[in-house]
Parts: sequence; C-alpha cells; structure tokens
Amino acid sequence: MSGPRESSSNKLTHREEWAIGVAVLAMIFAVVLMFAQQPILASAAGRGPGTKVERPEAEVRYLSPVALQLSHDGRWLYVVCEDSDVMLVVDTRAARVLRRVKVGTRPKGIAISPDGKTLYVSDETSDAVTEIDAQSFAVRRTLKVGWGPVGLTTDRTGDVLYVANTLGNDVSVIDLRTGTERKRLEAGHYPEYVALSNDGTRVYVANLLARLAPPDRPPVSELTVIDCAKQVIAARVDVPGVIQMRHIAELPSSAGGYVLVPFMRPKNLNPLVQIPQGGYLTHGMAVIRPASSSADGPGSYQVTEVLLDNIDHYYADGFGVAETPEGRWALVTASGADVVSVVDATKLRRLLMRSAAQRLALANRLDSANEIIAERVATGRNPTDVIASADGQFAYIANRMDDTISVMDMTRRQMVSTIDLGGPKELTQRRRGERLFYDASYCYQGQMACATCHPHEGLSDGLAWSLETPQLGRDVVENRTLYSIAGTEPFKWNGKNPDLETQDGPRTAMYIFRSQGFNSKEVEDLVGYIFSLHLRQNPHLAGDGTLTDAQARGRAMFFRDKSNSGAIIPPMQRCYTCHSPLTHFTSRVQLNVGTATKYDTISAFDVPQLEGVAMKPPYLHNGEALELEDIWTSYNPEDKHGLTSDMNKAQLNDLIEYLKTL
Amino acid sequence: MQNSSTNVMAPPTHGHGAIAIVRASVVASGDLTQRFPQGSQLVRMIPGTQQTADVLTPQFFAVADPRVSFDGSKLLFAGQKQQGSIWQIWEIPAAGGTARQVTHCAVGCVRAVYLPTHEIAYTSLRGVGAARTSDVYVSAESGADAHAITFGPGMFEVETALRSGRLLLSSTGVDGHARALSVVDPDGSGLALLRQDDGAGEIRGAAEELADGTIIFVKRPTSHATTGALEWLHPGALRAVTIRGAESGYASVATLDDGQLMVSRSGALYSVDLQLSGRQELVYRSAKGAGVQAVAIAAHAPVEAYRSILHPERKTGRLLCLDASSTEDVASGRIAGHVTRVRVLAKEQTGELVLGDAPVEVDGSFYATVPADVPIRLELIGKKGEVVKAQRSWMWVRGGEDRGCSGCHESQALAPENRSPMALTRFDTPSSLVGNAGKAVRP
Repeated sequence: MSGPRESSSNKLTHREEWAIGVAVLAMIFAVVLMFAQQPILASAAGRGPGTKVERPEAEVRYLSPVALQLSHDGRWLYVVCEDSDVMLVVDTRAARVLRRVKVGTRPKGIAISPDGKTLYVSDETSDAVTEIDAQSFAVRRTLKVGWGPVGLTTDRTGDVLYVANTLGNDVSVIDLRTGTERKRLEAGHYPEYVALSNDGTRVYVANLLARLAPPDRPPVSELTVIDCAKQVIAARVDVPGVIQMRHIAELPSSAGGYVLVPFMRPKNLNPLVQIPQGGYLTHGMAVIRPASSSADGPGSYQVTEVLLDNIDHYYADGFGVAETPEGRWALVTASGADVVSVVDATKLRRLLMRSAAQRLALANRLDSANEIIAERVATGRNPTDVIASADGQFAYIANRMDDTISVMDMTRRQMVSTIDLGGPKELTQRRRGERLFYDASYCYQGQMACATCHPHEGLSDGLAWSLETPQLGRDVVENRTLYSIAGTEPFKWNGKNPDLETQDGPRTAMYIFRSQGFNSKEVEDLVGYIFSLHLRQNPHLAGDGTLTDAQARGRAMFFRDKSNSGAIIPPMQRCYTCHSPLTHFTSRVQLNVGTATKYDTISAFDVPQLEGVAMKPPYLHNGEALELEDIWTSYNPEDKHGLTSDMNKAQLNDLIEYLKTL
Repeated sequence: MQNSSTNVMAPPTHGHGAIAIVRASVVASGDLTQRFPQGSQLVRMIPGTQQTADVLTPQFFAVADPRVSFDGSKLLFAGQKQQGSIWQIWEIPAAGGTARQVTHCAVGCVRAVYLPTHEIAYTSLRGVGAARTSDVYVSAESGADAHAITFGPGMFEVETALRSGRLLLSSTGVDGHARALSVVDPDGSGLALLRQDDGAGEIRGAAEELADGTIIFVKRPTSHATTGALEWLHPGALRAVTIRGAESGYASVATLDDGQLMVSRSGALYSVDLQLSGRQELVYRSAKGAGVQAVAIAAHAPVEAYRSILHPERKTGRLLCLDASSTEDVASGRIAGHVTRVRVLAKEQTGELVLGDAPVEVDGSFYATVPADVPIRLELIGKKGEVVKAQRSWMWVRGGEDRGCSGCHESQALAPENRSPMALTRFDTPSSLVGNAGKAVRP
C-alpha cells in the first residue's frame, strides 16, 4: 500500500537547496583543480542551448503521417498523423482528405476490426487507444493500455485487441467487449509493431531494440509470438545481429507464408574506420518461416536475414512493409532513403531455397538485393508505413516529413499520384532539422541518418560502438539518448565536443558520415530539432508530480549527505553533487568514477544527465551495466561512483524508484 | 536510368546547349602526350547546329581533356603550346580569352578535373617510353601547393571527380597492360578498386559519372586501340555491362548539362538521350577533323567537398584487416589453411624490402603500422612459413590513415561480420613494421 505522497520531485527543500549549494561549490572547487588543464570546461560553461538556436515554432503543427489502414472496400484510406493528434480519412478515388478525427496524443498505430466497422488508434503519449466508428467516424471510447502504445491489431474474432507498449516492454491484451485490459504479456525490448498472422492463430510483435546484453556481443533482437487462443507468449524468436525491427507483413501461404520484418544490421563492434569500405550499417528484412503450429517453440521458426542494400548504395532505415494480396510483391520502405523497394516474392522464395549455410550467409550479402528487387521507386520524404489495396492495384505510402501519401500503381510499379494531406506548407526550423535527422543521403553511400542510431525520435539504440581513434578498438562507448540534452554540454563520453554544433557538424561529417556533411545552416536547424527532443512522458512519475513512498525514500537517498552509519559523506561521493538537479542532473564535467576498463584510454567520463534515465539502458560509458542496480552492485566496488556500498537492497531499490521519476 | 539493355541507335541531329569539343585530324593510341601528332584544337560549337564557332585555344599546338568549372565560367584543359613542348594544365575563361598556365610539370601534365574548395586534381607524367609512369596530384586552382596523392608504381590517371567527393582514377594493373578503375579520397587515402571485375588486358578509361551514380566508361580491348565499347556500371551492380549497340568505335563520353551524354564515335560526336532508349543524334562531324572529346559549357552541381581526417605530419599509417582469410579468389570465399602472419613488403628501386611480419589472429584479423606514402603489398604466411596468398598489386597508406579492410581481395558484395577484431584486443598491436630490424631485400 502506498502511504502519504510526497511533494513533487522537482521541488527541493530549503535544506536540500543549501546542501546542494555547498556541495556544488565543493564540487566546482574540486573539479577546477582536477580539470584545470582542460580548456573545454571554459568553453562549455559559456554556452547555453538557447544562445544560438531559436525555440521551435510550437504553433505550427505538421501532420507527420506514420500509420495507414484501408477500408475493406479500398474506398477510404485512414491515415494516422502523429504530430497533429488526428486520424485522417482520405477518399482514395478523389485523392483528398474527407475527415479529420481527433484522437489522443501522439498517435502512432492503427488497426481495423475484422468486420471493418471499427478503427483503433494507439495514442502513444496518452497510454490509450481511441476506438472510432468507421462509418460515422465518431469516437466511441478510449481504452487504457500500457505505457507508450504503438502497434496494435485485433484478433480474428474482433473481440480482443493486442497493443504493443513500447515503454512498458509489454503487450496489452484488451477485451473489446468490456473495454478492459485482460492481461499484459512481456514482450522483448521496446516492442513497436504487431501483426495478426494470416491464419489468425498468432500475433507477431516486432521489438525495436535488441535484448540487453554485454556490449561486446552482437545484438540479438526478438520477434515475440503470441498464441491467440491461449493469449500467452508462444515463442520468442531470436533474430540475431539486428536491431530496429519495424512493421510486419506476412506473405500468403501460396507465396511461402513468410513473415517479413524490416531491420537494421549494425557492425557496431567493428571500428568506425570501416565506414568507407561499406557494409558498416546494413539494412534489410528478416524473412521468417513460421512454425506450423502456434504452439511450437522458437526453434520451429526459420529465420533468414536478407539485405536490401546494394554494394555501394544503401537503403537506410527500413520501416514499413506490405504484401500484395496474391503475394506477388512485397514493399519495403526505406525511410532514410526516400525509396520503396519492390521485392519480387517469387525470387525471394527462390533465394530462400538455398542451403542453410547459404541462407545464413545472406545476412551479409550486398548482392542478393539485385536478385530480388524488381524496382526501387522514389517516394516522398521519410516514407514510413505502406499498405496495399485488397485488389492489389495500388499501394499507399505515408511520407512523414512532407505530409503526403504516395500512390503507387502496382501493375506498373510506378508512382501515379501524390495526395497532399494538407499540412502546413511553411518549414519551421524544427521541421527542417527533423527532415535532416531522418535523411541518410548526407552519409557516404547513404549508409545512415541520425535516426539510424537514434530511432524513435532520439532514443539510444542501446549499443556500444567502436568509434574512437587514434587507438582503434579502445574507448568503446555506449550510444546515448538525445532526450533532454540541451544544457548538458559538453558532449561525447570524453566531453570533447563543447557543443552540439561541433558534434553534428564537422565531426559527424568527418568521422561518421565520411562526407561533406551538413552545412552550417543545416547544423543549426538540426541542433534546434535535437534540443527539442524530450521524453514525452515518464510513466514512473505521477501526473501531478507526487512521489510514492518508495520514490520519496529513494530521493532521500539521492540527496543524502550522511551514510547509514551517520558519517558525513564527502561531497564528491554524494549523488546530487555530480548529478546536480540544478543542471539537468549532470555536472557537465568528466569524472573518474572507477568504471574505466583496460580497453579505455581515458579514465574520466562525461557525467550523463539523468532525465529519462529509466528509458535508456544499458548504463555507464561502455554499456556494461545492463540495469541501474548493476551500476552500484557490480561496477562501484570502491565507492568512486558515489557512496553506495552501505546501501542495502531496499535502499537501492528505492534509489532506483526515484531515478525512474527523473 | 535505363537498364543495361538500352539500345544505342543513330538517327541525326538536334539542338544542344553550349558545347566545346576537341578536334583533331589524327588520333593516335598509346602515350597520352602523343595522342594528337598533328595537333588538336578546343573549338566552341554553335548551339543548335553542327557548326563550330571560334577556336578557344588558337595559341596551342594540341589540347585535350577539357573540363568546365562548377560555375560554368572557366575551362581547364591539358595543352601543348608547340609541337614537342611539355604538356601542362591550363585554364581559360569559358567565354574565351587568354590562357593561364596552372601547372609547371617537368615531364608533362594531362587529364585534370576541378575539385570543390578551389582545387584541381591532375595527372602528372614521369619518365619516357617504357619507363613512363604517372601519378595523380592535387593542387590549388592556381597550381600552388601541388602534392601527389598516388604513390605508384604504375600509371595513375584522373578520370573524374565523383559526386561523393571521391576521385575516380584509372591505373595499370600488375601486367602493365590492363587498366582498371579505382576510387580514392582526394587526400590519397582509401584507394580501392571500383569493382573487382577487371578482365585481363582490358583498358578502362574516359569514365564519367551520371546523375544517378552510374559510371559510364570506354573499354578498349588493348592499350593500342583508340576506341572501344561503351560500358556502364549501375549503382549497386556487381559488374559493368556493355551498352547494347555500343560495342565498338567509341573514344570518349561526356555528360551534358541536360543529363544527356555526348559520345565520340568514329570521329563524330553524338548526343545520347538515355530517356529515349539511348537514341543518338549527330552533333558534330567534319572534314576538318574528328571530334574526340566534348564538354558542356554550363554550370553544374559541384561534387561534395571531402573532409580529410589524415594527419600529414605522421610518417606512418595503419592497416586493420578484419579477416585476412576472406577472399573472393576461391569459390569457398575463404583461404584454405591457417594463416598465422601477414608480411608487409615495400617496393624499392631494386626490388622489394621486407618490412616485417605481424600476427594474424585466429579470427583472421591483423593490425599493423606501416610507412606512409610508399608502395606496399602483403603476403599471408601459413604455419610453416609458406606464403599462402600474395597480393599482386601495390597499395599505400597515407600519414595518419587508418585503412580498414574486410579481407584480402575480399568480395565487395560481402559486409563484414559484426565482431570485435581480436587484433584490437591485444595490447602489443598495432605491430610496428616501420623499423629496419630484420629487413631483407628481394630482387
């Protein structure tokens, strides 16, 4: 039971403010001594995030279409627009928007009932699903689901709705007869999209991020399979070496019945110097032959990974996938390349008939796309979802960054028209920056965009990358989130980039994109966009900001200045000294907290901001700590990373509960 | 872009934008300085006609290799003032005017291209006759700060500047006859074959990049031939293919400002409309001389500015190979047998200098420091000291360059495995192969 609630976590007591002040002064003194040789401090301190970049123009609301559904007769195209909190109804014959239906906040996904009479739109920031009458377009009710819902589907009866909750790492099973959540099933890491199998026995769930694992191993992602009859997890299918699995399509059984899931296949363990040689970030799709029965385990699923890139030209950031009804074609959008690849399913099937060893080798083959891709067709900016009409005549593609729908004639496999959804025509700085963020054409051979490693609007991909020179193989560092980084300069784990302009300008161009990169104006736009990124919701914190008992106890631990024995904790061993709430829970300096390994050439690392910390595992500079508790129980033996050795299990749990609220 | 089955047809004439052509009465094969034994001229065409207007280079005995600056205001070309004099790179206003000498090469300079940031790259010749070699240099547009970016041996020539900011080069192979296309960064780092599809004796050159990234070039059957087939390599394709109907007779190809091509075939110039199934239209044919090269006088999109990450002050670079056993040279894709070491050899005047050996880990990786800006090649050594595989061509690293590779003549269609190379987990690497200890010279 929860006891009396504490006041907002953002409010400090006078005693805490005084203590922070003293500690900060002590820290400043210590840090100045420690880092007197580092000119970076002076430059970083003088720069605020607002000095160069204008605030985003909040009044301009773009549509940003991200999810599509078609009415059963193909007359209406339903378009979910994440930036305007609406679902649009598009008349496919007239190619114009007919209705705007207000839904919840940050809608991301859409499902249609088997009878076509009801639409369900997931509202990511509302933690809800909006149920809409597909004839009147009236909102019938709002269904509460888990944290951060995105993908959703009904079962074949239409009585059950499955909703992937990205932040909750689970799937809500909703009884649509009562409108209540029947259960939550544990998914993989960051489940985004779901699909009902063609035979209606299974729900497939694609997880955006790989399972948490030691940073020196390739990622392994999961396709979670739910048994619809029992509403239990039937299988957790490993998809090795990939991350960012997105939408799901299933070819008809006549075309092999393969489940297709776009992915990114990184080479984060190779040094970054491989980028000019190509193949560093590859993009393709998992082609999964399902088990014959929904009750079969993961070993019964045959997973083949096929790259959709070419030798020296990449199709970054696969996102949407759809099949034509007869299974002749599969369509995969490359959201970073503004292209939809038309896969010849017959040739794909032929490719999959190779020996097991040859199929395994496809995961790294950059020439197999030449065998199976019938066309590469240009789309609008940042194509996301794609859907084919029931008669197989047309495909529709949602272009997030220009508020349009591309209409493709599948007979000719050519774009025949573009539907303007009616978004604002002016380009704000934020929008310009956002476009750049998703655009892989700035990278050599189009291998990656910013979004490639920071998916889902600035999330960390959860991988450690071998980025550094001059000593290759050293200083492998965990990717960091882009949420709430304004005011946390300097950047990089070694703190060498005094501002984001430096990081995203010349350094990105020279060492990552290996290209001309962004010009100064583009960098300004991009920085403006990145600084606008925040964790949209923190499910761990009550809406009114009050803390639970455990969170309050954890806050006391965070702000404590005495150990359990009553001894005064030296300022530099207090949590809040280095993770000061006055500066986004970072001190914006580099400190040695004893986490360097023999493969690091430096011992002091940038103090990360803690806002949204619960959403960005793994932890520490190299991603060794898979969970928050590991930071103190496994990687802080000498209390260099704050005095934590005296904390008991309950206190650590409380501390974690508090940190989750930040 | 058309596919490889595009047919090249040949009906006559139509209008075109401003074009300058190189006209020569006699065209010879072989040495670049002997192409036009009776001289050549750079002549401006009258737009929309087959007629030529003024000669842009009346002061020159011979000219070749015209290029237009990105803003369309200047022409860069190789020129020979008098018969027998040294070829240099020159620049004139596109509207005509006094030529400015850009280079002052001792033996000769030809084939230049504009780079962004007010630089040019050009081909600098050395030696004569059988001892002829050439390297690629980069300098300011003024000619100042000239520095080599290739480090032979062989004959490196500039083909074109690619949109990515890289340079497309051609160079002779180990047999001294074949000429293959390579890509290199403008600072000389990252040399790599464009494709590993070079056939014995094939001469590839006169290459251009189309707007979609397709590389189009002339493939001559021998070094003595002045014309050959027109081939193209589409983005992502493993191999170049001959354009149907363009199997022989082509001397050069140029891109025009409207996206069309201008090709030289049998002494005449044709524009090629790639959107119309390769339809060819006559642009120039004259008894005054063959049209052997052409260039559109128009502004065009600059290629990307390349940002070098070299450290020129360093005298060494590093080689990191992820898996030395990975190769395209055997059907299995992997070298049979266990490779234990890699030997690095440097080319010297009198032979080869063994710089030393570096360990090859069980995952096939190795990491070594080697001298910068000298021709080197690698040998893979087996358990008993035998040479398991030997590199036939020469390569180099630049000062401060970290040259990564996935294997040894590995398939370009194979992305590397995602794993930490074991060579990087050692603390005694990179193996230094720059000292003199244990060196040996092979004749």
